[in-house]
Amino acid sequence: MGSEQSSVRMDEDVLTTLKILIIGESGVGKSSLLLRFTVDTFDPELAATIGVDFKVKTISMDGNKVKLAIWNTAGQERLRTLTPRYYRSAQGVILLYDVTRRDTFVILNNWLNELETYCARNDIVNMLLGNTVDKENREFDRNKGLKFARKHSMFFVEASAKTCDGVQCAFEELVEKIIQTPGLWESETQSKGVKLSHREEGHGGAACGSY
Amino acid sequence: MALSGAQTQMDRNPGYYHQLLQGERSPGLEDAIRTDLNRTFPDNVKFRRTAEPCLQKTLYNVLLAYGRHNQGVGYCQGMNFIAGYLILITKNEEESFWLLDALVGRILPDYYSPAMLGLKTDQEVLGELVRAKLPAVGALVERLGALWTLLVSRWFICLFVDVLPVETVLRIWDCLFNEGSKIIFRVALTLIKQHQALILEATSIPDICEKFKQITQGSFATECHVFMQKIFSEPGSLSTTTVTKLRESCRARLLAQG
Repeated sequence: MGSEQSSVRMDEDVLTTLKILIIGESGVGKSSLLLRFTVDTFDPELAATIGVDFKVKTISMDGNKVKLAIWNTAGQERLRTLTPRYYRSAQGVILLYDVTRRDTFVILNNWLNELETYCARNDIVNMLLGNTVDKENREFDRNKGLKFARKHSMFFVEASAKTCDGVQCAFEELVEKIIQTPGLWESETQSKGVKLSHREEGHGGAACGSY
Repeated sequence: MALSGAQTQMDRNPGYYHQLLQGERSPGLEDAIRTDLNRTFPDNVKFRRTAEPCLQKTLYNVLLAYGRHNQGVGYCQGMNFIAGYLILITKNEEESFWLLDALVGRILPDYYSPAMLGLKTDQEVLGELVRAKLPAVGALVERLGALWTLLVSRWFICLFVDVLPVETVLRIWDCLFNEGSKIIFRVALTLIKQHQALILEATSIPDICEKFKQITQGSFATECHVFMQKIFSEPGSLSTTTVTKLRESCRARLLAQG
């Protein structure tokens, strides 16, 4: 990933900036997923995330550049009380669980409640992601995750931040869906009063510096 | 050990630490601690799972005993890094426990209990101090709509562990044990003041978050002797009365917000 400065310079041809959250229980691999997606590496010895971290990555989607500000939080409940506002204004959420850890799956309902409480909008795109599918001691098969996701109108992907399996496609699917829901990102751009100087007819987007 | 009262507590309560370890099982607490064992100083050979002797077991014991001792706090992420440092410094499990108790139970005002009210309060207090002492930075943070918690929560939660270089953290902790929690504001204000120009270049929230990471790196933070002199000169006067008053008003404001 380029530095923040370099991506700022590219803002002129960026269709929009999207805020995406990665959430889920402590130790399910949120930071690993973020690291794999943004710089394509895996570090088995990643320290626990304290507070909030983020990375910026620009991706191409059907010929348009989309800048993603991806936010990653600590998993422990009390640390999350520090940043309720962090949920607001997000367009997409990736909710992670670990397919080898029952406790991280059974608690998913709590996470959905939390999202409902703090998210400002109800058309936010949610994705459920079963991580660590490379491991052999799986506790949950694919269908269980899929069923949960369907019940709650979420996209569903199984992935492994370690092997890279499914990671790219998870983010692409999420971003594609957000882009297909223009109300999600266009209203965001306009309500902030950002100048739409780079907007072209039929192009349907604008550079935007909001997070 | 002596100045923080940890030694006195340890002398007064012989066998208490070991009783805690042999106490009733506490599955929730045990799982939460275990999740973080591999994720505490993963780069330090002594904390590797395969190390001999392995400090992961020591860390587990200290955190478990503390969670049982102070049930209002239990285990909060961040305490793993603090306990880990104490273990490396003292090389003694029981002393680490009593020092952790001195920090979490007495020196820091309610940082780690589930509501984290003391921590939230201190982040706001820092915000007030920046507004008063470094108004340009205060105005920028406000204009960008960045929460102080995004910028500095790690500083407060980990007491600068893995934020500043080891030697500098140890010097800061000396002051913390001797003089109390006010020192955290001195360090934070000094870092911000010293790098004010850089911070003021920020144009977005991610941008300013990045700047706040940058300012903890580099030679200024590494030169711990000069750094420690600066923290007592740069931020100017910072009386206990001021901090106490700010803590009261910020706490009241947070409670009113719910």
